Amino acid sequence: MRALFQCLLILSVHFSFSQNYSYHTIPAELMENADAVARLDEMDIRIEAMDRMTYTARQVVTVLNKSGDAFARTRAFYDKEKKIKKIEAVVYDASGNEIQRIKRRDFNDIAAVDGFSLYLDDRLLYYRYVPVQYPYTLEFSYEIETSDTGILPPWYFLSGYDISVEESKYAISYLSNGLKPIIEESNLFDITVDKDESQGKISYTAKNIPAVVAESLSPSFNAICPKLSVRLPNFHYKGYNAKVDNWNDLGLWIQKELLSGRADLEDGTVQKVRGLVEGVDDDIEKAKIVYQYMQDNTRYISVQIGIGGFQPISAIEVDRVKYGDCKGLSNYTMALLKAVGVESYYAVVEAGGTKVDFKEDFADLSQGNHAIVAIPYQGEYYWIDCTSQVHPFGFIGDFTDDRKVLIVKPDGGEIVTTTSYVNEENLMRMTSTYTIQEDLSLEADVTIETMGVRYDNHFGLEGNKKEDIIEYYKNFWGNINGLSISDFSFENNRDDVVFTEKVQLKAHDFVSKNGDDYLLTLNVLDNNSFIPPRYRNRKHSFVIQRGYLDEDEFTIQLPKNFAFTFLPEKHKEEIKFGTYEVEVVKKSDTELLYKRKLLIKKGNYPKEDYNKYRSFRRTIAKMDNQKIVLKRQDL
Amino acid sequence: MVFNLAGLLSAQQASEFGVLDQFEKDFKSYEKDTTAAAIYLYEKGENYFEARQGYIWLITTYHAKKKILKKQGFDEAEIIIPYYRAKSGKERVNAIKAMTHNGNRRQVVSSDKIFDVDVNERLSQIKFTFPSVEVGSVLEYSYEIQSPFFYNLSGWEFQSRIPKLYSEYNAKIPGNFKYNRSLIGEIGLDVNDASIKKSCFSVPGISQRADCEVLKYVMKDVPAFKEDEEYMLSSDNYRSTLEFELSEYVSLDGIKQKFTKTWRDVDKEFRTDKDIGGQLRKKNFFEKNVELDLITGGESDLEKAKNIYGFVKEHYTWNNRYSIFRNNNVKDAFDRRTGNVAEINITLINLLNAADIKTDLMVLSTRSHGLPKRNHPVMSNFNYVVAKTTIDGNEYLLDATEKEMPFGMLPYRCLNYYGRVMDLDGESYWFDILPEKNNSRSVQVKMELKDGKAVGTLDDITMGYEAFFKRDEVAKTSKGKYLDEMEKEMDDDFVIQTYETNSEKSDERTLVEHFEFELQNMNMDNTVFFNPFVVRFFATNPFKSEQRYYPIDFGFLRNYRYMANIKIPEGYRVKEFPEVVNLALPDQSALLRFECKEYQGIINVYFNFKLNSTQYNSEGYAYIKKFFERAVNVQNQSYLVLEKL
Repeated sequence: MRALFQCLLILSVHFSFSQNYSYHTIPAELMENADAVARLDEMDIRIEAMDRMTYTARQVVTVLNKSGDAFARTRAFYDKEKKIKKIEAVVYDASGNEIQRIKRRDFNDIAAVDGFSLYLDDRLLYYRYVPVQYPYTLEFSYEIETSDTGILPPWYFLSGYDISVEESKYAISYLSNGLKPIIEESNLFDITVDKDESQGKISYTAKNIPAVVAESLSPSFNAICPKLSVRLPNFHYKGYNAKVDNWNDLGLWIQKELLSGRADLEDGTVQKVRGLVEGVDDDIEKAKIVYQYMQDNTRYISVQIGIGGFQPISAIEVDRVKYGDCKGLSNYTMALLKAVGVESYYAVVEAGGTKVDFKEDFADLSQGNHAIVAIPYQGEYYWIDCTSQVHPFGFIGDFTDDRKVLIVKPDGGEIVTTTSYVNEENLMRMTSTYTIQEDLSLEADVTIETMGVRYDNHFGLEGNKKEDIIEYYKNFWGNINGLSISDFSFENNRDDVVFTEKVQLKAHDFVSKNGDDYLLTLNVLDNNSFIPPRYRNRKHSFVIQRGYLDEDEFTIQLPKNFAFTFLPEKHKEEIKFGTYEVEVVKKSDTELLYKRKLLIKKGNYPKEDYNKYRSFRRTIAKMDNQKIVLKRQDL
Repeated sequence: MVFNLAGLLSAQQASEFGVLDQFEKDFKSYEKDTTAAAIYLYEKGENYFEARQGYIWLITTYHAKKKILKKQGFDEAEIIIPYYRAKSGKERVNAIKAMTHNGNRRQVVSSDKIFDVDVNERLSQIKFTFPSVEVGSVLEYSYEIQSPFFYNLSGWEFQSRIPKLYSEYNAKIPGNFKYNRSLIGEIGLDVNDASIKKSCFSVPGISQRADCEVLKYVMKDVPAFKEDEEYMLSSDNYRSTLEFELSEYVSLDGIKQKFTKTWRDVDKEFRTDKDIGGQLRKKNFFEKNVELDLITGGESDLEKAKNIYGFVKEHYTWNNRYSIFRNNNVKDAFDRRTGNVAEINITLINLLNAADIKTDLMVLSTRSHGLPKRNHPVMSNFNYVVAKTTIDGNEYLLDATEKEMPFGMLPYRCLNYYGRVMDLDGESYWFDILPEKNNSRSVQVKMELKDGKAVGTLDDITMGYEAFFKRDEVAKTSKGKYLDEMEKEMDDDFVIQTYETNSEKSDERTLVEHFEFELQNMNMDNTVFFNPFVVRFFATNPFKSEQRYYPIDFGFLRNYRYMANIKIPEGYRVKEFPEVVNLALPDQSALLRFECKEYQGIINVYFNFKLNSTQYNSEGYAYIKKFFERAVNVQNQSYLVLEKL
């Protein structure tokens, strides 16, 4: 049985050589919108044992222009458990003639960097190919052997926007039924896929997938891409075995292999935090004090060593050096909380501005890139991110909000949803009194209050240098030409999560002279000119992830020798995406009150609505830029 | 107070690792710069030579104490020590010591938390961070680098992104080594000592001992180096640094090895260097490997040169590397059709010489690499080579790395004032880099307002660098995406109907693009406010800072023109025009004009923004800033006012 199995494999690998990669044979429909065409994208995974897996990949990509270079990949990562057995690249010209062969010794062997870690123990082989003509075809193949079967490479039938695919083949074979993988198919409805399942092997083949163009506000590529997620219920990872049927099992495994025994603290530290919460009974009040203590005494430093970057460094070690990464700081905070008798759970999340859920019925280690802490209290969870030295207790902002995450409880893992911030909760309230001076300049006192994710976007200002703050305002009000900032002050209410900015600003030549008229833009302080781009033929739905509310009130004072002619009428528009309301009220001959409200509502809207949304935004952009005509009285 | 400081300084000079004095412990904020988030209390480095295991090594020792003054200064806790390796040998970092002082508490960085990372085939880094960092921490570290590369005695950076109270550099250089040195920046040295120490250097097994030059340089109260915003030359031109360059080395057996001393030496070295001089003499190879026509064709020299330039640009794809003094092999590069700057331009020089058009190599420094020293040759000042040729009495500088670059123009990165022409048959000489003068973008619009739309044509005429940038952008992507980007830059209602380049009116230095467009959703009320700028050259002022520390340098002259003919719609008449603007900076160094006129039912709009100089000093910053502000205002805030009859 085994001999036959291997024979077949060898045969199939040999068989697929001797292809012609001439550019001229690419079907026309695959050239449309494509910077590159994947002629063949092939992955062949063999699960030989719970702790032995080999996979062979071959990518043949014809690159049509410079933007397509990124698709001609020539790199492979490895680590202690993962060995690169073979690696090679071949370059062909437009007609498919071989022009260069890149052998293993030509590849550079270097340390991996991720741009934010002090150290990672991953490495990679890479070759920097400089194309000499377009189109060209690059064939890249490698074979990897690893004892880690806990993370299987997912399969993307499309590897990104602007690339089409002639043929995509994925096969996974397994030596015994106990090694049979579970495969989750996503978004396969748009493409034609042949699936073949036989004894010990599952394979998929897709042909002629046209390129997809990125569209503004569309769901993330990951959410629309046809792909396979693959996992083994019985796997081996960095020296540990696991049997995982569901999240509960995976949670137990994380508890046992990655967390247990790492939460001890020195007696001195335990006594110290207990001292801090003395006289406090309520668990949440205690947790606040502990979180503050952790924030004041540690900083975030990423060092990724040990169980593939999955295991936190011990609480004792974090306590000693006063730094750690997300896992280390979460584990440390949990240890501190435990010391004062507050229960908390380690949580794994896919962090980032784009909300990505853990898949409820597909438990594997590949999901999640960040760790936070959940504190259960009266039937709900408080969430804290321990990598931040500044976030208020229980406030996680738009980095980990409103998504399904894994929490690790003593009795197993569980999927729960983090706190959400939507629509009116994301409020920015701007009030101002501004005066137009006789020399046509502007002087304004502005107060900005922010809450929800708006708070998250603003409160960081407090920790910046003065010159950076001034630069920030100059960009924030980039629409005001000749702006200068006279003064500013902040108030950060961490208990209620409200950030208040008070800013004094000036702008000369604010009112523009146009013939005998003077033009005054009513709303320059909260001027929203965003209009999503036009598409002749939009393909995807559009997503407003969180929504927000703006509320503005400006008192505008004119110099005595100026008068306004007429005022715009009140405008109110209420549609499914939100509400927009503007009103200008005459207070006296030289004083106006400008009121504006803009609500944008969270939602996943069908593509048919996109043009309506654009026209809504266009109205807003135009109305926000509305001007009134002033006349000089003394001339 | 004065007394205290003096006491401090004498203590500093013999600072022992792990020990802080009272001043260092108590230091809380820096009066001269209260914005500083961290400060070097003390920094000392030394270079000397030492024989170890039968070889002579260049030793660098470094010792620093930084104090964290604010939370924003925590980044200063991350330390990166770069070191290098080559086929001929490699550097080692030894004796790394690092410790955090919090009051009297001291905590060392353990060796398992010091990481060694190989970044690429030449560069490695030692990386670590300090434990228990808080406001008030003193972070102290020291290390030694043992190097086989004598040219790595390259000097000392006195100025960094945080201020320094005290920075000291020492060098002990045996008489058989000679280094050129130069001080860059505006700040003077507080100590500048040189003395001779007798018999200071010896090698086991050789009885003769060499004398050393002992050097000591100190700067006190060095302010933080501020980076400027856009349009500037390299900050290396301004940062306070002491630069050393190896010029001569006499080995113990008495053989003298000259590195750089005079341009005459350099000239000689170039002739024999295998990476440069050797590569310049591959005429025969190229004669055999290109179509004979290319070099012997019957056209004029200028035409021949242009053909060769075109051929080299077409043949090669630049690999984005400079590496001019190393790893050059034009024959290999030619076969691979890809190469670094030197390989591509040396190919060009070889071919031009093969065609009997006398061409030399010119070395220069890119804008980001700083201006080369004029007084003596410092070869590490140069990082780029181009071809310099004379045809019919006209001088040309050529660089074949950019496919869209016209003959005789250099890429923007090369517009750094001067370079040195290495005439292999005669003597080298300085040569000025004069950027193309004729750079402009002119937009000519004709349009008509009707049925709630503006319909018209737009000619976008770019010249010189402006044309190059456009062509480069077009070449990178597909036409569809280029047009999408164009539309995005304009008003939301701007729709491009057709697009073509006018090949008749375009040439190497001029690009004429013709668009038919529609501006939708025009509001045709009783009174119409219409901003005539379909294209805006700047959406916002690129200059935002209140203060400028260094000169503004645009690299090349700029000229933007916008001309529109707008037909007044039926039933409307002009009510008002925007103000006429006519501004100039002193000596006409910059001009701004804007005027609208009506003539026979057509509105003529004329706008011109022109910089007549490429460099403006920092004192002139306020004027330039204001000037851009006006230009932005004119484009954003001007309205033609039409009213219904």
